Amino acid sequence: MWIVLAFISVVSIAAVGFVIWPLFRPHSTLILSEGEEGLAELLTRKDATLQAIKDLEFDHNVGKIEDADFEYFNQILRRRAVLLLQRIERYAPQTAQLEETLEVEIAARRRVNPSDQKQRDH
Amino acid sequence: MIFDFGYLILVVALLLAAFGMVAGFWAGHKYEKSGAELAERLTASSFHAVFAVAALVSIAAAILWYGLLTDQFQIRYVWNSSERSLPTFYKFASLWGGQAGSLLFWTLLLGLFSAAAALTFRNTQRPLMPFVNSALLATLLFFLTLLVFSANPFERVGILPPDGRGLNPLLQNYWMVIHPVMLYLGWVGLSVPFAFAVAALLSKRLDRRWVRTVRRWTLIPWMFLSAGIIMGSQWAYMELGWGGYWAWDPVENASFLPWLTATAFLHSIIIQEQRGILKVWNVTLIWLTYTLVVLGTFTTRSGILSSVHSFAQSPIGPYFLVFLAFTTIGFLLLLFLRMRYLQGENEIDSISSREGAFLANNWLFAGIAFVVLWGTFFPMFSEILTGDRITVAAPWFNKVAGPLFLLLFVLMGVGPLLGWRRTGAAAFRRQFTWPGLAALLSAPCFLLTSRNPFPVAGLSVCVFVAATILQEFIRGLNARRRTKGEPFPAALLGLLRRNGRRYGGYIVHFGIMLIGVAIIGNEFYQSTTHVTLSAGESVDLSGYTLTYTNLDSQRRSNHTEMRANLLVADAESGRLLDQIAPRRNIYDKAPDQPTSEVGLRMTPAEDVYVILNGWQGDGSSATFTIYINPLTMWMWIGGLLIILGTVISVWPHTTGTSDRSPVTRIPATGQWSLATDP
Repeated sequence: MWIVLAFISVVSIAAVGFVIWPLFRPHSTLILSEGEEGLAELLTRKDATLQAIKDLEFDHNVGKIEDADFEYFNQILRRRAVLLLQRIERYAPQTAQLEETLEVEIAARRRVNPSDQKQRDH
Repeated sequence: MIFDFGYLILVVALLLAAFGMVAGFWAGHKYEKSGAELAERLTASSFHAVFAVAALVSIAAAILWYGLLTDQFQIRYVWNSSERSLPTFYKFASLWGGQAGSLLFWTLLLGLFSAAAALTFRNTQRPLMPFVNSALLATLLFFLTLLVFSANPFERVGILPPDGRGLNPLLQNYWMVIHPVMLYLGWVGLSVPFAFAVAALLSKRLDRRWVRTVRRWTLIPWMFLSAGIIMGSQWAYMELGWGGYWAWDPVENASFLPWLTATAFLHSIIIQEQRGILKVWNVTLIWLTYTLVVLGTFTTRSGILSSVHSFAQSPIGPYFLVFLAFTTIGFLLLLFLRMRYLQGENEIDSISSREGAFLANNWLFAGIAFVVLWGTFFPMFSEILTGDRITVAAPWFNKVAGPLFLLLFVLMGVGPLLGWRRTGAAAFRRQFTWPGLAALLSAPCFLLTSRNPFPVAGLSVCVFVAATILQEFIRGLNARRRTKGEPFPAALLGLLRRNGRRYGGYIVHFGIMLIGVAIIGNEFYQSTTHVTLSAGESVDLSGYTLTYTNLDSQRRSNHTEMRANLLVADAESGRLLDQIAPRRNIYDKAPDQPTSEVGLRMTPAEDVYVILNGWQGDGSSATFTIYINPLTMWMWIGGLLIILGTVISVWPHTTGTSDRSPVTRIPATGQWSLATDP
């Protein structure tokens, strides 16, 4: 029986030590500030909006959305994407610089739809 | 000695789970109150608790496996669930063959899932993870409490019996080795999205991020659950010997109920992701799924509803009831407190849109789940209220749920034809013309096979679903070939890679449609006869002639097989098609509980399915029940397609979006980086 007790003592000490060790060691903080949290949400919404644009274009290409509906919803979504990008740039300019692909994608979309570009310029 | 060690390991795991749960909750709370330094330390400690509990439970499971494989019959669980002559394959599977072992296996899988989630999201979902760890550890704590206080897998018998009592004969089938594993992977895996929902509610981060995060972590358990249900049906078909694969048995229903709500959840989170609506509905659905999973385990293990699966009657029921009450009240209270954070960001633009179809499909899934739940628990309620146990049988389920399933299949065809937001009349006509025509033209052909309107309508709807999926692939391929100029194989590959989520989903729908075809074939076109044949005598059924030749026996390690040999020939031409041998297995440890192994000739058109009911002492005559089951093979092919479609759907594809939180911070520099697709 004493062997069991010895074994379980060793395992318990190791397991408990492993679990409580982070409470005592110095720690670099990973917590996001409120602004950073907001940025994370904006980036998620931007991703969702780009996905929605892609789905809308796909549905239009395969004939599920009529031209007039496509134009209407496409404008709304593109405007939203541009606004989201502007807000992301305000939060953290360096973030937008880091994601070159996003800039290229939005720029490409702006080129496709000149009305959005004009609106943004105003 | 080693088994005492195993039990004490579980006690240590229980204590650490309790500590980690409190640490995670406290960390999340401190996080909200900006106690950054302490919150970080507590969060790290909760992560370590998850890893430690997973490791300790793995050690305990390994010890029980050792006991099973080395015939340690002084352990009650090993004594009850194994025997010396049991093949090693089944000794290994005995871990989930009895109550305490299956609860330990549940805990092991949950520990591993929790550790996997912790490893995956430890940096990317930092604000949610303390609460996620806490919620997962709370579930682990419950199961460890059961193992330590009520269902100890290492309990001793008191003496050293020379041999075990043997594994339940019904479980000695290869499908039963893998089917529970799949079911458990599905059930246990669904705890992870529930933990994220709780974390989102507790942290008030109820935007679209948590639903994006859990999509894959719901799809993968859903796939396992689907595979588990299909494998369970295969086991029932091959082993129980009553001619079918699904009897609406309470324990079958217990696995089906969370499947229904999880499927509804998988559809409705797409709407939240796309449109920012249905937030209350989504957290409610995943809570319902989790509750139904726990209820299913309770139903299986407590013996509260008698069925062929409820092998164990035990005192664990009150624990489950308390846990269910605690999680239900806790969740509903939390939902009420967070209601103002759960307002929708948009509205549905038009009912003739994909989100409209998804919404309708959610109502139907919820309706079917309610019907199945009511039918499953009705005997229990009737017993409590009236003292008489009134059982609701398969015909009731078929009658009530059947029409709802038909409507669901119609929606499965309609949904893919609609675009997001709004589909106008012209586009509607364009999309529906070919699938609608295919369904209409096929209906008269089906009328030739049956005058019953239900199979005709059902098969026509299946044709409609198949045609919509085919049309979707053709149009997608054409659009891709037009814009990219790719040849057909490259276009197909590109379609699956770039739109894996959509086209993987269509493959899953096709698999479900095939299962529908198989069910209709079995329900409405099955023919059967019950005969006693002398050696050399024949019987004709649905174009087949079956001739009984002889009975032989074969000795296996722990049982004797009695095999009746039959020749299957074409009734018209007399051509020999196959030889089949239905058998009865008589187990040494349970001679009064012989199991049936059906004789089967499976083809895409129909199965010749023979059950050996009995025989005269020398085998001069034998009694059989013979079924001709049309289209049954498509059920198993449909199951494979569900797995294939889900794999394509969860496979990381190159859309530039991620289901992780897009922001991670590099601690050393504080620089931002963007998480790339995993």
